[in-house]
Amino acid sequence: MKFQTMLAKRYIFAQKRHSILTVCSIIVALTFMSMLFTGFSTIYTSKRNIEYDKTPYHFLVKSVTKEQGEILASAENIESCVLKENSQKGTYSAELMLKKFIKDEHVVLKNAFEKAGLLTDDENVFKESKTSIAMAEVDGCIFRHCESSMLMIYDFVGVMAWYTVASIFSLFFVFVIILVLAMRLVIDTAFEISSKERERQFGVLQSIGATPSQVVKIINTEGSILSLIGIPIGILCGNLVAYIAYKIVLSSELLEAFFTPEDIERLVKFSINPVLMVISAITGYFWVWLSAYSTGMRIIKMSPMQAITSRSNTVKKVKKHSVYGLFFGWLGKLAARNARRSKKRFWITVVSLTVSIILFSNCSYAIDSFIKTYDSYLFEKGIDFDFSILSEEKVFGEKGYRNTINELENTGYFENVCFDYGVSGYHSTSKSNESKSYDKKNNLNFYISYLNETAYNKLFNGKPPISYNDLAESGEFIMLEIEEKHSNPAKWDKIEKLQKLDEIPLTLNIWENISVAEYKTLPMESREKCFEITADNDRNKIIGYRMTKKVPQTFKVNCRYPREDSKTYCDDGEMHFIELVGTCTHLEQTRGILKNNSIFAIECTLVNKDVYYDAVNYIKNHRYLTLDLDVFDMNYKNSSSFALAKIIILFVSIMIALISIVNMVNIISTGILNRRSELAAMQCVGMTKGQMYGMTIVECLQYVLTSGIVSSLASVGIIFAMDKFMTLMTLDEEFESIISYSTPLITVWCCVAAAFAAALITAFLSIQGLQKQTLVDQIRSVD
Amino acid sequence: MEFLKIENLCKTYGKGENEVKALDNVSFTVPKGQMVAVIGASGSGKSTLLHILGGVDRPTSGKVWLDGQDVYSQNQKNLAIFRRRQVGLIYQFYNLIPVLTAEENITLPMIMDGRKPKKERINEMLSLLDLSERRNHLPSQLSGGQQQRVSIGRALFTSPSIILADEPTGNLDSKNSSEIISLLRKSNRDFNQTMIVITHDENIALQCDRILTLSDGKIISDTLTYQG
Repeated sequence: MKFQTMLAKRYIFAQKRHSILTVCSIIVALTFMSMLFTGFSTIYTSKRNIEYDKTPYHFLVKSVTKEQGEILASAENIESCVLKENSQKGTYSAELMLKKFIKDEHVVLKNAFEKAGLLTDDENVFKESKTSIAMAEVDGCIFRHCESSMLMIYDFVGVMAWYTVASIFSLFFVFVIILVLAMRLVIDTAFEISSKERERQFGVLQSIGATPSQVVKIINTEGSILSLIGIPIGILCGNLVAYIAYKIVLSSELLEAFFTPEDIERLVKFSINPVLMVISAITGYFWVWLSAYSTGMRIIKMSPMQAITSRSNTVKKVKKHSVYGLFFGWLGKLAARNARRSKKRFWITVVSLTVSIILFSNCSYAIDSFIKTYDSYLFEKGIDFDFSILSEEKVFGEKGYRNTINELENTGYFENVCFDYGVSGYHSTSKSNESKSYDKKNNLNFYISYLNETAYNKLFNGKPPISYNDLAESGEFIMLEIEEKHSNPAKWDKIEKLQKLDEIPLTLNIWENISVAEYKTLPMESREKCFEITADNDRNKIIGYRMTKKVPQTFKVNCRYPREDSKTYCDDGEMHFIELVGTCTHLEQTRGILKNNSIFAIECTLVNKDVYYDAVNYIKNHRYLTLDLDVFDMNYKNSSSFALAKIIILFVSIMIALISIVNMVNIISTGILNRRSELAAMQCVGMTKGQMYGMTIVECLQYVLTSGIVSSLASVGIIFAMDKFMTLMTLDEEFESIISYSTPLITVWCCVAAAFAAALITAFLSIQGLQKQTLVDQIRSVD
Repeated sequence: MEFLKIENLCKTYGKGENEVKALDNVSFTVPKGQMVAVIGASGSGKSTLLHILGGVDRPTSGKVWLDGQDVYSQNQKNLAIFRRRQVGLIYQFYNLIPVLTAEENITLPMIMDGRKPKKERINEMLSLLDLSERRNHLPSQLSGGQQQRVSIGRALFTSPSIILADEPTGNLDSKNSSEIISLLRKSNRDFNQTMIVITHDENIALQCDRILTLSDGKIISDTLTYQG
């Protein structure tokens, strides 16, 4: 056995605490890296499975004979070919899978097609066929293949796949490399600490004839032996943590927002990629080797004499006055000077703590803020329902809107069924121009809402200015007033005058259905404004046209109510609606005018989330109902995505926190143990245990307090940036800021408290360890 | 009048076959103001004796009385306060606090005691130690002799009743050694302080009032010098 190996082994056993801390650092670093790799691999494999489940082929070639299919299967670079018979046509569809890592898939396909006699004489046809899946799906078309581009990307097939995968991987690796660099700090610190203590010994070794390269080899051998222990355990722990995260995600039912439970069980698989594990092991070993090598190089830069006479606790300069001295007296002063004896270690600890605190507090806060913003956005837009259903039943047809509402309510799936039927119109302030073509300058837009009682009460937050029945009986309307002054004084003047009127003459824009024959009699100018009405069973068959008809009518105002969102309407060029609110009774009274308006909207909420699929099926099974907006599904998917993101961030934060805590524990415990003779000397000249603990508390406080202050400042900066970003995104001055500066700060200081507790435990345990030795032994440990 | 009384002091390290008797039934007394040199070969138990006298290490058996007080009947906290107020310890390798300046190192025991050192006293001590120009220097910026003077200053500053010096000149040249011994002797005479000095240097031993010779943890001779 070479003496370097022998010495390395001896040092490992002699410095058990350092060896354990170095192994712990390697384990944490490797755990983090392999967790990320396995997480990536699991997501990648699951997404590939899902894609394969949808389209189990790279290329689908339709209408081939059995012989042609067999030729395709035997063609070069074709991995597999599954033939499926089309019994009606007597032909086959060939599902082709190409071999992985093929760059030009079309060359492979062209050769296979040529061999099977599927290629036409026209070379251009093949070129065009590369482009469109939709065209290829058309039966009888000459382009007889379609492709699954997503599956090809996952299987590294085709030029696009290479580009896409390369960009995904480069992004992922940039992320990993940033984190790995942070982790290297931990390994580096561990090595530096353990070797710093042995500088004198390395000096002695050199003085008795060891060459500098032999000294470096000792440290590198030590690193290699520790890597042999740390790397496999780290990889094992990383995969274990990834597996726990995978199980948590599965048991949380979050994925059910995107897939059925059967699909999750079948397709979402935990996957460990051996290549990635080898990469993480090599990277881990490389970092350890680099840390050991750079430490060795630093040591051999000193002459043997310098190394022998050097003391790891030599202090060349101190800051005489410190804040801690002001607050904690001489104990604080001593603690402040001690903490800054190794500025590098102090700042490494502070930076790693700060990064983990910021990541933990701000990421979870950012997600919560986005959720709140999203909710506020929905609220602002009045989206406080689960479904918006359009009914094509004629309002005054056989079923009628009342029956539709009753039916929906009686299913037991829906509640708060709101009926909202709106007609737009305008009031012309120019007498000469009335009822002619729309005049932007002189017309004020109106919107007349006919609501059922639920929608009515909801609009006024349960406190309407007049009861629903009284309004229905009066036959009058409530005017939703704009209170904010319009940016255009002339326009505002008109709005103000109009809002004071008790009877408002309006021109309603009513849809009218006309037959094809009637349509043909219209002048070309009017025809251009018409919409086609097609047959239910054949969308290509036009059965009539729909055109707007302007109907003048006078509306009586019962009372006025300020609209909550009136500011939106005050500076919005042409889109300033003034709204009148009526009841369903009004709608029935106006049936003569509105008879052809056949679509109305119903908003409702689900009784509970369990009835979602039944409710959707109910709507699907009723021809006259269309699910216009599925807010429930949208929210469920969004909240599941947010929750998934939170789980992932939580795991990453925990790992980073673990790294910073290992680092802090390493630095604090080493700091105390390195000073054992000094601490003993202080006790010899009369320092009590209480005073020593007091000094240690202040030392620990410095690390966490500095991290807390830096984290708080950074958090405030991040939130400020987020606030600005959100204001920019919403483009709405009235958007109430949901940003809170206090929430993440509370999390920051909770993290600081936790880190402080960890630091104290470490420090106290280290001191307790020292107490096992007598003061004499502690002093002699250096002498 | 006996100031320091040691009775049947024993100290053993290790167990079974590895058991080593550092002190074996040592008994002696020291009157107030006497300067005692303890000599003996390496491993004879000198440092162990000194540490036990200073309340730094606990004896396996036996008693130590200082000014009538049983040193080891005190709890940890009181023992620390005892060391702070009654004992001045000087080490061969100084054991200064590297983050504190010369002045701060000297005043540390008093500061730890919650007392504010007087400027005049500090200046007086620094001048006595010839460290006035070096008061703001850190230990790493001082020579060995200067560091030892700081260490002596720390031991003398609170005017303890006993000074225990463990080879105070062991790491110094002859010039610095004689300066240090003169300093200790002056303090011993001026303040009537009891002193126990461990040394290998016969000249230093002869400057003391009494010489105790230790061998294998036992006192083999106890002689008064012409000084005594």
